[in-house]
Amino acid sequence: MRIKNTGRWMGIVTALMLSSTVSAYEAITVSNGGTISGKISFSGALPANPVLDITKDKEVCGTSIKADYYVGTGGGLGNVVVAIEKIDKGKAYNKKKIIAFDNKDCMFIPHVTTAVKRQKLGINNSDPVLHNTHLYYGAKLKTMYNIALPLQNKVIKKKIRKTGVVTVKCDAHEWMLGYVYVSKHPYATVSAANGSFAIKDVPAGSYKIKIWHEKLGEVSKDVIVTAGGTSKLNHSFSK
Amino acid sequence: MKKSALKFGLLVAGIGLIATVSMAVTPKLASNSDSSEGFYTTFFKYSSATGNIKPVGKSPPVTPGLIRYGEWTYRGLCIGCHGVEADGNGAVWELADKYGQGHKLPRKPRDFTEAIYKVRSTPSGSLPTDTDLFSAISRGLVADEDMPAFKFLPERDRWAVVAYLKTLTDRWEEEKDDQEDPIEVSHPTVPTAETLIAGKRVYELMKCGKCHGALGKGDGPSAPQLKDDNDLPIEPRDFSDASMFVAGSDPQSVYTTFTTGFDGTPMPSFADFLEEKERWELVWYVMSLRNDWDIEKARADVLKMNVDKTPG
Repeated sequence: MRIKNTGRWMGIVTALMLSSTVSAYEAITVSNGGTISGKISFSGALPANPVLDITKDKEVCGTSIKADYYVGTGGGLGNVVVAIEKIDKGKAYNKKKIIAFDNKDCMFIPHVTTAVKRQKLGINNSDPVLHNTHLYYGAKLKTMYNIALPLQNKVIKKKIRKTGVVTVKCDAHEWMLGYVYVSKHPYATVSAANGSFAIKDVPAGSYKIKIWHEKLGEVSKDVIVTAGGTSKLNHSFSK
Repeated sequence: MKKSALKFGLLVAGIGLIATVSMAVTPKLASNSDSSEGFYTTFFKYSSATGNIKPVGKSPPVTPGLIRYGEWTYRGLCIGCHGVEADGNGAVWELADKYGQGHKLPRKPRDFTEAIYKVRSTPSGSLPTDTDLFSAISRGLVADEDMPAFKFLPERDRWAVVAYLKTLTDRWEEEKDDQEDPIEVSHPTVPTAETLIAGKRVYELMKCGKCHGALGKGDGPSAPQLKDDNDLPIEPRDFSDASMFVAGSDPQSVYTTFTTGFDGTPMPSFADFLEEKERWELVWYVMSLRNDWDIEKARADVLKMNVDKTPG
C-alpha cells in the first residue's frame, strides 16, 4: 500500500542515485554490425477498415474517411512497429532530428511513426481548421501534452519525454488517431505497406524484438545478431 | 481482509477530519449561511478563494520529516477525495460513483500518482512548479472541481503536502532534465475598446469558438464530444460565468490558462501561436464575455498595478 510505505523516502534517494547510471543509452561506434530484417504479414484477407464518422468540418475533412488501421499489400502488413526491446549501447542517432507529424485532411500523417526519447515531434497542421495534437502515454492514456494548432502550416516542435506507445488524438476531431513508438535507442522502425522492415547496424548479440500493431496487439520474439550478418525475422498476425 | 479494513478505517478518519475542520471553520460564516445547505456547500463557499495565492514565507527545506508530516496531513485532509492510494479514488468519489450516494463530485479528484495537473505556470507537458502546487492547495479549485481551499493551514503544512505529493510518482525525478521554464506573465495592458475589437479577432483566429462557442457560452460545435483523461465528459467553459474559471478569473490567470493549456483535458496550449500583445487582447476579450465584467474597474485595477509597480 502506497501510503504505508515508510521506507519510501530512502527508496527514492537510492533510486535517484542509481537511475542516472542504469537507464541511459550510450552511443558507440558500431563496426561490422548486423541487420535484422524480414516481413510482417497477415494471414488471410486484411480486415476491412471502418468508415469513420465525420461529425464536423465536413467542408475540409470530407464526408467519408476510411480508417487506416489495417494497411498492407501482397499479404504484408504495414504500420507495424518493430523494435529492439532493450539495448544499452549502440549506434549514434541524430538527437536533433525532428519527427514529422502532420494533420492533413483530418487524419494524422504518418499514422504510425517512431522516435527516440527527447527527440522532437514537428507537428504541422495542413488543414484550414483548428486541430489540436494531444499526446497520451501509457495504456491508461494520460496526457503528455496538448498543443493547439489554430493556424495552417506552422510547425510546432515539442520534445517527447516518455517511452513506449504514445497515442495521438485530436480533441476537435474525435476520429483522428495516430501513434508514436518512443524508445531510448534508435533501433525501432515501422513496417512498410508490403510488410518489410530492416533494423541496421545492430551490435552482435541476442535481443528481444517487440512487434506491435495498434489493433492486433504485441508479440515478443528472440533474435540473434551476428557481426556483419543478416538475421531474418518474420511474423504473421491473424485475427 | 486486513488491508480493506485498514483502508476503510483510514477513509473514515479522513472524512472525519474534513468534517471536523469544516465544522471548526464554518461558524465564522454562520450569519450568512443558509441552514439548509449541506456541510460541503458551506465548506466550499467558505473555502473559495480567487487569484494566485503565493506563499509569504520561504519554503522549508525538504527533509524526510517534512515529507512524513505532509503524508500525515494528506491522510487527515486529502484522503477522503484523493484516496488511500492517492490515485483520486477516494471514498467521496467512489461512493458517489459506484453507489450513487453521498456528495457527487463534478470531476474526478486528481490522481497524484500520474501528476498531470491542469493549473500550472509551466508549458503543456511540464510538471507544475512547487509554488503552483502550493497555490492550488491554498486556493482550491472550486469551479467545477470541489477542491476546497486550504489556505487556513499554516504555510509549512501546505509545503509539507507539496513535498509529499512529489514522492507519489517518479516523474519529478525522471523528467527533471526535461522541464520547461514557467511562462512569465507580463504586465497587463490597459483594456480599451480597441483592445476588445482586436481581442475578438484573436478569439476568432485562434478558433476558440470551436469549443467555447462564438459568444463564449461553452456551446461550440466540438463541445458535446469533449472528454478528459478519465474518459469523462467535460464542458468547455462558459465565459459569462466568472465563478467557473478553473484557474481563477483575474487577468493573469486567464493569460496563463490559454498559454499553458490544462493538461489532462482537451484544453490545449496556444503558447506557440500568440505574441505578447495578442495574449492580452485575448485576455480582455474573454473578460468582456463575463456577465459581471466592468471595463472601468478593470482599467482602474491595471492602472493601480502600474502605480504599485513604479519604483519609489
